[in-house]
Amino acid sequence: MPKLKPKSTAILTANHLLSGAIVYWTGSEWTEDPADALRAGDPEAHASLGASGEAEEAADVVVGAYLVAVDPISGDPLELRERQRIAGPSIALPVNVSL
Amino acid sequence: MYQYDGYDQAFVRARAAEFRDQVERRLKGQLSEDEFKPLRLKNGLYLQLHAYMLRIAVPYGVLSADQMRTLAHLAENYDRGYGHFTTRQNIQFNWTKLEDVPDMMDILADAGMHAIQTSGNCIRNVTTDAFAGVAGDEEVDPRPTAELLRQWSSLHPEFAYLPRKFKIAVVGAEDDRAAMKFHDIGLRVRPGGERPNYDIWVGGGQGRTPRVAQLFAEDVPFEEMLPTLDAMMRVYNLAGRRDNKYKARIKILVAEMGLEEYRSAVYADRDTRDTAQFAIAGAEYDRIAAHFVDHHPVGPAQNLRLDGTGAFAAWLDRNVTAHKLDGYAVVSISLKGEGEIPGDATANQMRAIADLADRASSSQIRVTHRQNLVLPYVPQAKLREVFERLKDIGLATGNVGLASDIISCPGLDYCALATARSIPIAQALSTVLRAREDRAVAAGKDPSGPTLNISGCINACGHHHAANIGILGLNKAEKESYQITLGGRADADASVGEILGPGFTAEEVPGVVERILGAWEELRYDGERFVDTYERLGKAPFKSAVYGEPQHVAA
Repeated sequence: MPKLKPKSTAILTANHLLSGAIVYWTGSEWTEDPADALRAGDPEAHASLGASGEAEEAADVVVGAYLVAVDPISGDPLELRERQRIAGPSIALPVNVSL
Repeated sequence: MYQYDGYDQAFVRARAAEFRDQVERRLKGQLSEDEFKPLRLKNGLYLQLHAYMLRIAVPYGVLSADQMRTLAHLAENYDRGYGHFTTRQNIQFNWTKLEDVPDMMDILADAGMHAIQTSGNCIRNVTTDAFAGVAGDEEVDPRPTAELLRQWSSLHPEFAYLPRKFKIAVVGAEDDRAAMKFHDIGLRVRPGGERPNYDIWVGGGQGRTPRVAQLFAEDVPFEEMLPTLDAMMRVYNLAGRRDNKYKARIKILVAEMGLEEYRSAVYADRDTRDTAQFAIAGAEYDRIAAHFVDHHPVGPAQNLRLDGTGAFAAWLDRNVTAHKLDGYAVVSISLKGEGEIPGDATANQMRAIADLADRASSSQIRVTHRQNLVLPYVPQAKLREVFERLKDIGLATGNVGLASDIISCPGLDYCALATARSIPIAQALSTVLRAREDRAVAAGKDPSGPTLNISGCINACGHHHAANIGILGLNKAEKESYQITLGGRADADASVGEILGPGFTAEEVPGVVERILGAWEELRYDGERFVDTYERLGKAPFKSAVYGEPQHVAA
């Protein structure tokens, strides 16, 4: 992941260890709704969010925790990869109809 | 096909039990993610963009009908009802839960399957010609060699921590249907004495440094093949670069050492080794080969006149291939219908194909490296019935080998490494290309066109370097940008495509491909293939067709 700028607004994301689902840190728990993610807007807050990620990884709740830069107003990720990750597959998934 | 013996069966069961224990220890916190990650990867379990992804081995692309039913069962009960067939002839499930994987492994083991070495820096699933054993033009069946290599490379203690992943392909016909020369090691099986001989190729690969393999040795007798491969691996294992993962594949080592020096090092190593460990290889090859004497139903011994009208005629023309036995045909099932996701099949489609294989293909199915499926033993008298059933299940598109038969990696819709999406590009192109192909057929013209492959990053899982028209998705300032390459090919005259020029947006790609095809149709001699036109004229006329620059090349 690219380094955050000091004034970047960031949220903490990871994958749930058991299910693999994408989750976001609210400040006290993990949620699947990015709108509920806690936003951090300065280096101190980034560090605190990063520490929460490390602690949650160490507690074997999530894997692959990292900070994502988001737009401070809309909350949308700034990077293409993260926009895609949040939105889920952009395609219609195959439907297992009976044949 | 090869049937597990007691040893094979015990081996995969033990492996499933071992992984169950590893998952349990992970969930109890006894293994950290850093400790667990290499273990899960060695069992094909990745953490992708949205979820865990489980990649299951389909050794050299050969599946029984019952194994296909097992995959359908897993898709339906442990995933979202579908699976994705890959260019390594494997299948992957995109929405796996870690807690379910031990049960999935047990179910696979019951069906004689596993996910061993579908990831990690080891020898990956050995691939071969999807028409192996049935192709009309085949000299030697490559499957016994592929199975021998599977057994040799599975959990080989010396090659479990290679500098990087390692891919081997084996072919036995002049027409290379396995992209053999884009592999770390490629084998061309040739008729020998009691057992086959081998041409050994080395140093091919795609990724950010695409290379066509070089001929390492010709007509190597069977007895020397495994000792030579062993020494080739050993030299790579010791001398391959571990300081930079982008320079760690054997293609870089061979390029840096030079083929001659690499060859000398390999022979120096081989000639100091005791070959006693390979003494059983011949008997084992014979035991394996006996499994591949296919017991197909007796007769229809005569060839039928194969004709039809409309979609059936197009399907016969494109998806049905000559069989080595009179009265039979090889049927390719296209997983590239218009607007579909290349390589995807639903659980019910898998099950219907398994039933078809039982009824009309000696219970055998193959996965192709172009992400299609094959029924290898279809009596010609049953072709109409097979077509009708495939039509019922939405898999009767007659486009195998046409431009719309697109290889596509999962791209940024699934993959954690991708830089851009691939699937939507493939879907948009398939609509344009199918319309074009239908128009050609309606006009009584040959609908053949270039091969077209799409990758969503420079790792090139979608084989874009090896396509006549390659499309590579990149990230330019957080926007998707698609680079076009022309002139690549994966056949016996393999070559790497050349970049045409600056990239395009996703929306522009179908129009660009149409302009390239339009230029080809204008410039080609009657019946000339795209690659031949490209070789004759170079990229200038295509560049001007796409970018609007003046054309200086006389057609």
